[in-house]
Amino acid sequence: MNELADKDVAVADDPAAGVEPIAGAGIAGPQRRMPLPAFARQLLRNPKSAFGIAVFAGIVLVSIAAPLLTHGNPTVPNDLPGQAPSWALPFGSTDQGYNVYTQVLYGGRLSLLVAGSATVISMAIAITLGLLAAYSGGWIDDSINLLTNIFLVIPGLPLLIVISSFLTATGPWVMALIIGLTSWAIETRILRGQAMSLRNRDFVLAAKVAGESTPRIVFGELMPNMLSRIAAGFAFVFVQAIFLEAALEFLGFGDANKVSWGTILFWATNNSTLLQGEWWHFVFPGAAISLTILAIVFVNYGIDELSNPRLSSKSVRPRRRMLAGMLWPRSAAA
Amino acid sequence: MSSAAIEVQGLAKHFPLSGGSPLVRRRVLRAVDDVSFELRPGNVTALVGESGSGKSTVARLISRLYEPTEGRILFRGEDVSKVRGRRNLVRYRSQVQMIFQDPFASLNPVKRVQHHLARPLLIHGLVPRRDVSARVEELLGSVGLVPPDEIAQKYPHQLSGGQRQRVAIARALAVEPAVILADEPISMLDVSIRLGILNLILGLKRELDIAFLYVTHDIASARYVADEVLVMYAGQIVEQGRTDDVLQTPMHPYTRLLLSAVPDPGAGLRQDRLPSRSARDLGAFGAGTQLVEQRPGHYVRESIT
Amino acid sequence: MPEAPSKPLVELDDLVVDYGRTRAVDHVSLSIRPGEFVGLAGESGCGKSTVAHALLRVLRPPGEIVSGRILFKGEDAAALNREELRRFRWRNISLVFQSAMDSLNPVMRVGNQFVDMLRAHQRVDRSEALARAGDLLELVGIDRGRVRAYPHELSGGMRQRVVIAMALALRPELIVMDEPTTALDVVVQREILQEIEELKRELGFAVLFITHDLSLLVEFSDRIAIMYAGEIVESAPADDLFKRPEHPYTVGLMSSFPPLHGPIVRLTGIPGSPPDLANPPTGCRFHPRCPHCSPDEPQLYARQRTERPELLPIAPEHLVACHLAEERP
Repeated sequence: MNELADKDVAVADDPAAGVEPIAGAGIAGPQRRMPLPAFARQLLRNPKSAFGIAVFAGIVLVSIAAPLLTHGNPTVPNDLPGQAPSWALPFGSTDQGYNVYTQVLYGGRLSLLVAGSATVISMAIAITLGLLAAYSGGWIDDSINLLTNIFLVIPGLPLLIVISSFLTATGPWVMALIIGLTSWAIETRILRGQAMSLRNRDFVLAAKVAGESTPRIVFGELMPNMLSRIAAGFAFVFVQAIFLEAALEFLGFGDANKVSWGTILFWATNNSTLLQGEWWHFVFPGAAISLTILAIVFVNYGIDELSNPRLSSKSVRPRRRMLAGMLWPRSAAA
Repeated sequence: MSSAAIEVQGLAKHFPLSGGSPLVRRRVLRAVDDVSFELRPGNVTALVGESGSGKSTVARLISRLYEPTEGRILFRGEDVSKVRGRRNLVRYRSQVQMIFQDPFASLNPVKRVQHHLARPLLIHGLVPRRDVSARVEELLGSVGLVPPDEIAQKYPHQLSGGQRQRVAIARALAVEPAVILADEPISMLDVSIRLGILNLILGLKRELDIAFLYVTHDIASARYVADEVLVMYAGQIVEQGRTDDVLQTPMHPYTRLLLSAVPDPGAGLRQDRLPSRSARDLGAFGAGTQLVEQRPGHYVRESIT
Repeated sequence: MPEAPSKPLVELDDLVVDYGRTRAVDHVSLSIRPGEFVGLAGESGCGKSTVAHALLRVLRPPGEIVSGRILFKGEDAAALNREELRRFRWRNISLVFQSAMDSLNPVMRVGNQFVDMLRAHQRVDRSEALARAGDLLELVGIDRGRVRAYPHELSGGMRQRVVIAMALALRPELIVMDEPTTALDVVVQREILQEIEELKRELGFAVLFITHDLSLLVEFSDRIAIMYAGEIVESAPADDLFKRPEHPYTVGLMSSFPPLHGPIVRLTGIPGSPPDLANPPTGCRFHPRCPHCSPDEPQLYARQRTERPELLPIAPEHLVACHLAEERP
């Protein structure tokens, strides 16, 4: 018996594991698989991912509600230049007289929008290519693999820089597009791997024997079983996209007239704020980016714990004991 | 004897083994070799063998999940071994269905029972959309899953193993097939549940006149349900005939070996020891052998001399 | 069959094991005599594997022994500290896990895995340990040259024998085997069981054999205990259990095996399915599926639904936990 096994390896006797290949018991709910609503609910119940979701939701709300939270106009320099943070200027002002607080609030909209769109484009490609490659096999798999390998090998940011330099105008939509079109490779490979492990499962064969068509099997049977990994994929790519967007803007490849966290950082460098000691110009947008990424990372923790129940905080004490036992065999209490 | 639903002639499946340079001809694994038999309506034909005997491969060949390397598969006299085209394949699949070994793995964990039964109905256009729910509940009732409306809304993990297997059987029945291929349908179920499924199979064969192929390594269960038994070893049929002919008067040494290894408390509490590996007689198999009719309807593989 | 009852080698005394809020083993008492082959039979969710893991104290969290004693030659194994436990395991009792043949390290040669294990318990040098490994392989019928093989180069049956050889390495007095032959073909299964029997005769160890295949147990065991929903419902010498099963569950189990000889009768097995241990039936846990439980006998019916039957002897060595058995003279 594999107690608490999260795979159906053999006869499971353990009621808490809930999975019994030599089945017969009406044992409720194995933890390893759950239909969609339950998975989403679990995410909210897990403290780490709930925290991440809350923080991220907060950031999104703040960006949307920017006009309510600040009276200023981010594109108009209305304030006294070079002011440190104060009551009137919570995040201070730039050398040109822009209100950093207003800019960070409004800037969130663009950054999140670009990153979000890029993520959607990227994942759409990854899901289609990954699942298709896994299910079809043969030359389709080979060609997709070749393409994936090429994009995996070429480093992301330098590629984006090269592409940006060729384009005349890199507005936010163009940026979302190019980020989306270059960051799909890793997720494609990962999703393909997972789909391959599912492809030979009996329920896929059963669908085939029932007469289902290939697209229906791929999107109707395989994909719903991969939702948790796809969600994690969205999270990973989003983090990457936020970073890439900020990096491109920071390096000056974006449209410097738009307001996003990255462009704020661009102007901060331009104004040599570090040398002048005007820390507020770059710390606050930087903190916004970091906070967003942190929130997503916490959501990922939650997703991790969901897919592998042994990592969950409920088993922390026994885990610590086990760890202690491994390091100091004699001293750990039995 | 009614005409055969499925006739398999000289079926063979070779899998290339990896290794060896592309210049040298690849070694092949003869998973299935020279297999011929019939599946008749209202009959259960058992394919008995150990792991590696090729019995599951035969089932997958007949269900067209694999393509045969040699031989033919005839469905009601028509050659379907190399059927091409989606429409022909779908038509075949509406007549020949399959049940898998693992009751959990054969159901999509994120879909309700309703989905599993509705899909075949919709794919093959058997029932107008508005009648699908009713038909699903009818099917569930016919395999003993009650109350059907509740069961239809459940997810696989909410059902017991026996119930899941019944859902799999209901799914196979949805298209009103002529043939059902059951690949070790009870080996992963609890002992006390197995009989329920075997009895269900017996009931279906009688009431619906379905031709069953029952693949198993459990000879005792084969005896319980099957009208005809085929014993497989190393990809070939070594003995074939009516159930009690083969199991009570086995003639091939391999069949005898199998039967002597099965735990049978009724046959006296201590059985004879198995002969050691070197002394063991596995009988005739492999190249240079053929099935010979030793008694009416009872075939045994022998060396060709 | 061992002679007159000798002092038990291992005694489980009123053992209770919980997994969180689920009680997997509910007041189980079982004794194993030196050199005895005890079979523990039951279906999924009955707790038989938990018993095996509790014996060796390898329960994974949240499994824990809540109460009861595990006596090995009179001493309570539940009270051993970490170091004593480490030495106790494998030397006194060893365990062959389910699918143990899959638990061999796939990237280590078989011989090295023996060496690892031997050196964890004894001061031997590598060459000596390898020689012992060869000896052990021969003991289970494998050519000693296979010491250099990787697990994937061996067949399933051979891997299982390797695992059994490892379990024998330190000459434990009891080997616990959890479904060791379930994944194997029937011929290989018989071979291995015959070998275990022979080794048992030669080396004198006791065996606790856990399986769902009751027909196998009847053939090889000295004594059989039947578990249902975390409890032992019947325990008797193999002969007795086969010829005179008392508990309705045992009777039902026996009739779940279609016979190989004799007339083919329509069998029904046992209606319903094994209970959810998180929420077991009240009173006698088998009562929802028992053919002898009906409202027609209201007094008995009430007892069956509320009172847990005790495991009591109805004949020397034959224990049953059933209200019906109690009613009989």
